[in-house]
This record gives sequence, structure tokens and C-alpha cells, in this order.
Amino acid sequence: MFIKLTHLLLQLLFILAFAPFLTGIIKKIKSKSQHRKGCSVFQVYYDIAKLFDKEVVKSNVTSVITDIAPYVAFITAVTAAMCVPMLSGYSLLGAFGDAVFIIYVLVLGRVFMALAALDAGSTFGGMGSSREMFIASLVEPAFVMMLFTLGVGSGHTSLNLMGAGGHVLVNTFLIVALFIVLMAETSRIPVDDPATHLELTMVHEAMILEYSGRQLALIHWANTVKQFFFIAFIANILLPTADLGVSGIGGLLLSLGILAVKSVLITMVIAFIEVKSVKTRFFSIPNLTSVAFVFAFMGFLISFIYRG
Amino acid sequence: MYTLDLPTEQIVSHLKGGKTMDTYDQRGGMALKSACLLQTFIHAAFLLLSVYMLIYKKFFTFSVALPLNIKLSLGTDHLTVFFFLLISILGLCVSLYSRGYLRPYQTEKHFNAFLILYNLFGISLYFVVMARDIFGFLLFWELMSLTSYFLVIFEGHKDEILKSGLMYFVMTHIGTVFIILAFFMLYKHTGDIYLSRVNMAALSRGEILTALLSAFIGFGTKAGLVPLHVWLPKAYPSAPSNIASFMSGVMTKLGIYGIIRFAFYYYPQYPLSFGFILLAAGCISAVIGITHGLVQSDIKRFLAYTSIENIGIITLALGVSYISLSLGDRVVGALAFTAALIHILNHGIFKGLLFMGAGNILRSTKTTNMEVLGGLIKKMPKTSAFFFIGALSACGLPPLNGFVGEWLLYKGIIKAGADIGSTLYSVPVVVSGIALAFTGALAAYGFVKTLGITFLGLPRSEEAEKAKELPCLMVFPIGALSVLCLFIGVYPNFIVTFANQVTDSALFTHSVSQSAFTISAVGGNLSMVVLAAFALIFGLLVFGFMGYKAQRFGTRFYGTWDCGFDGLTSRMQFSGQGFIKTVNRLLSGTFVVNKRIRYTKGDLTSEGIRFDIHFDDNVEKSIYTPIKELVRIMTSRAQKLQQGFIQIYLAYVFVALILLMVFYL
Repeated sequence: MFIKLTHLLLQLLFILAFAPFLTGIIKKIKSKSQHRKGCSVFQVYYDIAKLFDKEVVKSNVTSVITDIAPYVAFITAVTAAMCVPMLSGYSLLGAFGDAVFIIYVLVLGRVFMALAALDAGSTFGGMGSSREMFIASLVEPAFVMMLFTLGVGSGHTSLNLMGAGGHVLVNTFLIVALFIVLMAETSRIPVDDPATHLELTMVHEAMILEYSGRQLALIHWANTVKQFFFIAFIANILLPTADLGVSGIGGLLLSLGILAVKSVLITMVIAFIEVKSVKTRFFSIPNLTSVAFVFAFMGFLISFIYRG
Repeated sequence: MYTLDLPTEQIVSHLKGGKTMDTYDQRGGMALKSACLLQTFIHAAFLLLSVYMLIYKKFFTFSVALPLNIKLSLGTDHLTVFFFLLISILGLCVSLYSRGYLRPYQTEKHFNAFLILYNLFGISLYFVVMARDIFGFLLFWELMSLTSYFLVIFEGHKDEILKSGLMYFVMTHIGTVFIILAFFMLYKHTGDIYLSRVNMAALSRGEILTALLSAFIGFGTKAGLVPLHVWLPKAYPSAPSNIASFMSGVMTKLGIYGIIRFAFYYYPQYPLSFGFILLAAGCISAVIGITHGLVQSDIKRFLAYTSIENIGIITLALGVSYISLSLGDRVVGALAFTAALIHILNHGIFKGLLFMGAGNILRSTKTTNMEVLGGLIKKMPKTSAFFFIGALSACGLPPLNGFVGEWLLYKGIIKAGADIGSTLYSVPVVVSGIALAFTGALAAYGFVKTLGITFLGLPRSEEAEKAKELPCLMVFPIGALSVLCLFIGVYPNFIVTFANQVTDSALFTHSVSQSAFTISAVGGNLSMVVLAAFALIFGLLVFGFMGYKAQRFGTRFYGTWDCGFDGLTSRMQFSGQGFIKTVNRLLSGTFVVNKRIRYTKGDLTSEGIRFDIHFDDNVEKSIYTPIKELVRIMTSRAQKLQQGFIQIYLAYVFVALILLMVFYL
């Protein structure tokens, strides 16, 4: 019991500590590609810490939803990430919550952020909120199709056991689909430019325009954790590494280290995509998400061949 | 000389034959109080009865002898008692709510008749599920349909309400024709009028399918499956909100009750084609329901379309169950069946809650058009909080009750996809799962729009600004249902036990097992208690940390960011139509959009522009309107036979006589 709690704590601390590092890597690669020196890879940590020490400026139009939403976004992102197997192919919470739960818990976080955007009574919030919900409803079928493929292929829906019995060809298609889902859910180019200053092109940034101070810090942290959830999903479930047989606390740390290395590599691929492409027109996003769905569906059909 | 202080208004209205509110305040609204008290007692009695029967597993049958030598046989079994639970929970809350909601209606002309019909409607629901012979079932089904028609058109002084009521009346009787046909086939196959399992060996496939299809069409009309759903979005906004709540939560489920009886109890042969019909109808209803619901500006119309969507989800679950059973997989069959039952109960609870909340909004702001509302969360905090919980339940979000049914359904679909060997049958099931995910995401979109535009932001009109919270009697039932939503969501074990009992009685197996805080099905666990506990503890830690920071660094209030413009008005917010413009553009081919731009002249120098947009039902326009046109054309052609001269009618009789003599002699 006590050991299980320490595992829980270890995974929680790793998620919270490691997630902002990946966003820092993306920013560093982007700035290097633009021949800028760029800020350090740890800048996201400094930003979050700075925001926690700032005053919150709240609009007097807002209600309790604005106060609740950062908590809901943060807690749902962390809960989803906690269900991904990280400690030697196992996560404690993954035995209680499975893939279907994760889908809906992420939707819960998104719904609250969208509501908070409408709370301030400004046009920006409504715009960002409607676009975000639209993109989410397009990307949901692809994500669910991917989870169906994994669930049907392995016979389980618990994330701890879903990676078993995956085949390279099937996983390749699913990885492509999941990359597109990742870019849509975490507001990366080509779906949404996270560094844009134009409200006309904002999706996610427009939703959090009214936030400041410690609430904004929580929201930024939540976004990094959500991004880490998708990256860890790719790393540990779609690209599983063999069990190295080291037991005890050393084994856990080794598996976390391997996850860190894989995450950094995947993040570099994301950054590469972000550097090489531009933000698409908003109404071209259904085309992109259809591509994701088709890849996931092809993975599903191919998995039939290997089921015999 | 003395002056007479006459109560002029009362005298005048008394002379006119009407009654004023004063009359009722003096008498204390005895009719309303007693009617609602009677309803409350009936529903509470049935609730206790159903809980007792579910726990102690005692069931009964009895016969009622009516005059004219008619004997009705009534009985209870697991499915009946499960529906008792649904009807009584919702009925109890609605009757408490009606006590407050119907108070301003007391001066209406036929209010006493309304109360009697309301009580009859409530009772008839119980008797429909208790009926054990064909005549009893049809008798109480007709009673339910007729009373609900009169309840829907209660505010019939408005023209469109009468029209919606007429459409409901016609559609429900078309359905009744098919139900009678289905019962006729049942009588033919069982040989007597008692509702029981048919001897399947003697029947051909075509006969079974005919019976099932007619039952499906007949009961599907009541349930609201596409394309037989066109009465729903018209009837629910027209009906008073407590009636709409009761109808949506319970009456549509009685259509599903009929389908379950025919498909799983009376004809348990499970022909595969009927399973695919159920699956297809479920998918289409779910997708069409939510896409039409998204674009509505009226809250009650939106809720009516989400009812269609949820009925589609339930039918989808029944379809998955049916297909699995016909392919021999009893595990998935039982699992999907349990998912359907749990979703029936959950949907009744949260949809009833949402309609009563809409009634509160209507009572408080005189409108349910979300384009003129806004900022209600500050004016009506309790109603808003409970409406939020109901809406989050309707999206199927954990830790609320809508999620439990959806979780079981997803597990069933995944296991069906894994178990069904042939790709031909497995791909449609998995694609229906994708349709389910799509509707879930669109439902979240629709509810964010409804919640955000109605409750959040700035009020868009004077009525919204002057809104006030309603008295406790109208808020308490909604609160009770919200607490139930939360409880079932976190601890679904009771409901799972009851649903397992019903599944056992129908399919002789059940697939959902449970331990202390977990429910598990086909190799996956869901322990909402553990997850909620983790979220709560972690949330408290974060809250504490944020509180520490708040104490050190504080909060400042300012206006909404307006780029220094300093003139933000409520009309500058997003509107509901703007919010769904993206979907409108993406799916524009599937809607029927009515746009109108009118230019109004104020005085000589000012001119106003008014833009009206409303979305009609595409199914209605593409299927029903051509049929209506065809009938109209045919009857107007046939009308030429009726010239109005008696000589011509005599000539018809003469010609018919000659023809008969020629052909039969």
C-alpha cells in the first residue's frame, strides 16, 4: 500500500516536473530554426513561476466558472497523464481508469475552458471557444478510432495493457493519426499557432485572453501536461520498449529515463513539423482531421490481418 | 352618505365568468395543491414499491375485472420494476416542481381539467408497463397518448401550439396503428392475448421480421427515432415545462420499453438484419438529432433534439446487443443491454432536470430564446448550478451519471469489434462507435453554447437583467435530481445491480460485475470513487497552494479587456448563432435554413435592420412535406368526383350497380 502511494507520488512529480521541459524544447528548436538564439529550454519553468507570483486581474463580469476552470483543466490533464503507464509499463491509476475515461476527462477539461472563455462577455472568448469546440468535435472520431484499434487488437481498454500485441505496421498508421490529433488538441501549427498575436487567428490563446497571474500559470502548466499526455501515449503505448528486467527503484527510474529520452525525440519531431509548416486556413482543418481519421481507420483494418 | 369601496376588478371578472389570481390566493389554490399532493403520493408509493421489489425480488401479477366482462391482467417483472423506478423518481420531482410552476396557470380556463389529465397521465404510465395482455396495453397506451396530447396543447390560445399538438396527435396515432399490427401478429403467433414469449420454431423468418419491424416503427414513433421524430421538436417547446420534462424523461422511454419487450422478450430469435436496423436507426438518430439541435436558438427545442440524440444512443446500444446475440456472443449482448438500461435511467434523470431548469428560465425571464439571455448565473445561481450539472451529465462527462452508460457502451462496442470474427459485421459496429464519439463531441459543443450564451457573460436584454431566482419549491426538485446525478456518477453500483437483474431476466446472463467501488466489464475497470478521490485530494493541494499565493499577491477587479475601447456592450458578445456558425458552414447541406432580413424604418433618419434565422428540420422538409403534398394533390383530384349534385351521385350508384352485375353475374 505504502509502496503504491510512493509510485503514485513518483509518477505525479515526474509529470509535473518534466512536462514544461518539452514545450521549452519546441520553443528552442523554433527559435534556432529562425536563426535566433532564443531563450533557454527552461524558460517555461521561469514563466510559470513568475506568473504564480503575480496578481490576478479579474473582470467584474465573470462568475465562479472563471475561478473553477483553471483547476478543472489542470486536474483533468494530470489525471489523464497519470493513467498512462510510465513506471515499468505500469501506472497505478491506470488500473482504475481506462481509455474511455481518459477521452471523456479531457473533454471535461476542454468544456470548462470553453465555458470560462464565454464567461467574460467579450467577443474574443466566444470566438476562441467556438473554434476550439469545433476542432475538438472533428478530432474526436480520429482519437476514438485509434483507441478502438488498440482496444480491439489487445482486448483490453486499460492503458497499462493496451500496448501489448501491437504490430509495427498498425502502430505506424496510429502514430500518424495521433500526431495530427496531438497538434489539434494542444494547439500546435498547423492547426493553431501558439505564438500568434492576432486575435483573428487565435483558437486557444483567445480562450485564455482574460486570465492572468496564478490562474494563467495553472492553465499554462495544464497545457504542457496535456501535451505530455499525448507524447507519453505515443512513447509508451505505440512505441513500447522491451522490459529491461531491472527491478526495484532503479527499474522505475530507468523506465522514467527512457520515457524522457523518447519524449524528447518525439518533441523534436513535433518541433520539426511546426517549423516546416504554416497554420492552415480554419476551414481546411476538417481536411486534416479527415486524414487523421483515415489513417486510424486503415490501422484498424490492417489490425484485422494480424488478428488471424 | 358612505362611500362604497368596491373591488371593481373582481366584480368585472366575475361577471365575465373568469377568475382572478385573488380568488385563488384566498382559497389557497386547493385544486393545484391537492392534485400535486396526489401525484406526489402516487409516485412516492411506486418508488418505495419498486425499491422494495428490486431488493427483495418479490413480484406479483393480478387481474382487474372491469364491467362488460373485460378482464385486464397486470403484472410486474424485472423490466417493469426498473421502469417503475425511472417513472417514480422523475414523477416525484416533477410533481413537486409543478406545485410551484403551475401556480400562474390557475386562472386559465381549463385548469382543473388539466390537473385531472395530468394525474391520469402519470397513472397511465405505470399501467402501460404493468399491462400483461394486449387489450390492457393498448388501452393504457391510448390513455397515455390522449392525455399527453391535451397536456401539450394546454396553452392552445397560440396557433403554433395547436399545430404542434396536432402533429403530435397524428404521429402518435400512426405509431399506434403499427403497434396494433405488431400486437396482432403477436396474437397470431402465441394464440392468446396474454403477452408472453412466442414459440419461435413454428415461425418463418419473414413473419418474425414483420412483427419486429411493425413494433419498431410503432414504438419508434413514440420514442422519437429518425425519421419518425418530427413531432418531438414541435411538441416539447409547446408543452408546459413540467409536462415536457415528464414526457421527455419517461414517455419516450416507453417507446424503447415496447421495442425491448418485442425484441428481447417476445421474439428472442435475434435475426441479424433487425439488429442492423436498430444499429442504423440509432446512429442516424444520434447524429441527425445532435446536428439539428446544435443550431437551435430556443433552449427547449435544443433539449428536444438532444432527447432524440440520446434515444438514438440507447437504440444503438440495443442494436449492438442484438447483433452480438444473433452472432452468438452472449457476453457482449448482455453488456450492451445493461448499458442501454443504465442510459435509459440516467437520461430520464438528467433530461427531466434540464427541462425543469428551462422551465425556471422561462418563468424568470419569460423567454427561452437564448439569444436574448445571458448572465443568468449571477441572477439565478441555484438554478444555474443545477442546470450546469444536468448539462455536464448530458455530455456524458465523468464524474456524473451520463458517463456510466457511455462507458459500458464503449466497452461493449470494443469487445464486439474484437469478438466478431468477420469484418463485414465488425466494421459497422465499430463505425457506430465512431458515430457515438462524434455525437458526444457535438453534444459537448451544443451544451457549451447553450450554457455559455444563456448563463454566462452579460445579459442581452432587459428581461435577462431583471431575472430573479425562483422560490424553493421550483429549485429543490432540480437540486435533488442533480445530487442524484452526482451520486450515481460516482457510485453507480446500485443502478448496476438493478440493471443486472433485468439483464438476467431477459438474457439469463449478465456481464457487468462490481466490487466495492469498482464496476468492471469484459476486462476493464472503472472506479470512479478512486479517481474522484485522487482528483479531490490533488485538487485540494492545488487549491491550498493557490490560496497561499492569493493571500500574498491578491486579486484585482477590472473590466473585460476591450483593447482600450471602453464601450463594450452586451450585443458585442458572441451570439448563439455565431457560436455554431462553423458547424453551420461545414454541414450546411443538411439543414434547412430560413433567413430573413427586414428593414424597419424608425423615424425619417434612422433605419433598423432585423435579421431572423431559424432552422427547420430537414427530415420533415424532405420526407414529410412531399408526402403531405402528394396526399393533398391526390385528395384534391379525388374531390372532382364530388360535384354536389344529387343527380351525379345517383348516376354513380347506377354505374356501380351495372358494373357489379357485369362482373359477378
